[in-house]
Amino acid sequence: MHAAAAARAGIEDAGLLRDRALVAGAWIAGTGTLAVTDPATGEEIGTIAALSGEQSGEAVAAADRAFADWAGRLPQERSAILRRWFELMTEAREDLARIMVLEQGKPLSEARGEIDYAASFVEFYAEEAKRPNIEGVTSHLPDAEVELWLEPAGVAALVTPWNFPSAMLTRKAAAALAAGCPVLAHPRPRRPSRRSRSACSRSARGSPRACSTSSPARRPRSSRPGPPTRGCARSRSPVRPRSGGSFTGSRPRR
Amino acid sequence: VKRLVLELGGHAPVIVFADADLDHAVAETLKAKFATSGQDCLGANRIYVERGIYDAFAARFTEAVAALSVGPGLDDPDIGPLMNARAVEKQAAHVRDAVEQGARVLCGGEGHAAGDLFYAPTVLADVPDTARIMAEETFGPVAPLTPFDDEAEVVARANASEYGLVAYVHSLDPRRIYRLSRALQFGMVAVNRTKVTGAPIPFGGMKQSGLGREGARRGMEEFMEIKYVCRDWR
Repeated sequence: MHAAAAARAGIEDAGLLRDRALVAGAWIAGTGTLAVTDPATGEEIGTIAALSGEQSGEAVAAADRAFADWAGRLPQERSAILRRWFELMTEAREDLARIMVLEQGKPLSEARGEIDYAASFVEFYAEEAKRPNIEGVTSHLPDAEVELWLEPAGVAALVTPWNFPSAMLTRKAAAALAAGCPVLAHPRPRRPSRRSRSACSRSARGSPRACSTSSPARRPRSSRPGPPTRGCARSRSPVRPRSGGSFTGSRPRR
Repeated sequence: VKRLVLELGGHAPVIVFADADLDHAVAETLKAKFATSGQDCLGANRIYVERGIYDAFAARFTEAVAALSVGPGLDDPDIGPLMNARAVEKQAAHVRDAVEQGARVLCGGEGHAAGDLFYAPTVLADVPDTARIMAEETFGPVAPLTPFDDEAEVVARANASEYGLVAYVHSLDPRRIYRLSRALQFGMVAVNRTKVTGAPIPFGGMKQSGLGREGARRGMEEFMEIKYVCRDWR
């Protein structure tokens, strides 16, 4: 975000402002940029990185590589990292709300409310991470012990909308990370949220390469390289752990 | 084969019965429609009011809507800008279409002086079920009102949508509340209140509103596989 816009909005911690994408634990520049405008004024307030298909592929590969490590950690360790993410979001509440007002346009009180709402998912899943308990089933077979286990499904590809840029990201990402799944986050390019990205990076500090974000240069089409979420959804290898997707947005009208 | 969770929008009905607390219903419906400047998948998109209180509800609701402040988000108004020019055009198109089909504009119905992406908070009365706004997501600050005469009729009209995310009901009759809670084909039913979301509850919809749930323990289990282990010790 341009410094003048951030100052005008009363944003104090410039470290929260990012114009790069987080891939495999590093903030990288894209092969292009997307302008971010303030919907209240139409003014360009900053740019974000637009990743190439190759860069998106790197994000998918990194998430794949992170799976065994992240899924294998103790739930208590994942919980502690999520808890730290919650605390950092709460400390940065006012700045995060003001960034959201500039990028998304919503009134400041609603933006503060959304940061609280978003953080509440991280807090909740920090706690829930410790409780995917094994369920014992009364056996229907002689001499057998019957149990149901819950295991992380694989890399989670998350597509989030512009109207709740923070809460829709945390509602998905915190749940997936708590479950033991690395995430690829793709905020909608119309109003991508660097806030989402910075919040994600904070969790990634403790969980190297478990979290990647990106924005595509354009709406992905079938024949074109797109965001990492698409690469993940498209992957066809039958021997890899299953990946999953979580999408919030509108369906195209017929 | 991938696991999928989809949240694809909604078209929330608000149903206000004559036995509701009218002032409370007006205040809650204002929130249900105008939070996030109307750009909310939980946003009220159809407001059904029982005929006996229809005029009184319309008058009080319109008074409250006309008093909403509009401006840039940093000034902390009630209503901010819409997402883009297309969103503003959609408000205008939904209003134009409803008026052509006989609706009355009780307030608003036009852009707002605050800027290109602002639309004046709007109330439409007597909007027919055939109007676009009664079927498509408006995603902006336009509230259509329509009267109804009995419970079975309004349930059928509320359910006549491809969406099924959230429905709002206002009534003080416990038996009616139970019947409506059963009959409405929505993933979430809010009774005499608007805010229902939060981390501990499963958020999601029926029909074309999506698949799966987010939030709650279930929201984590959507990212997990069940493995069944059966073992003998021999």
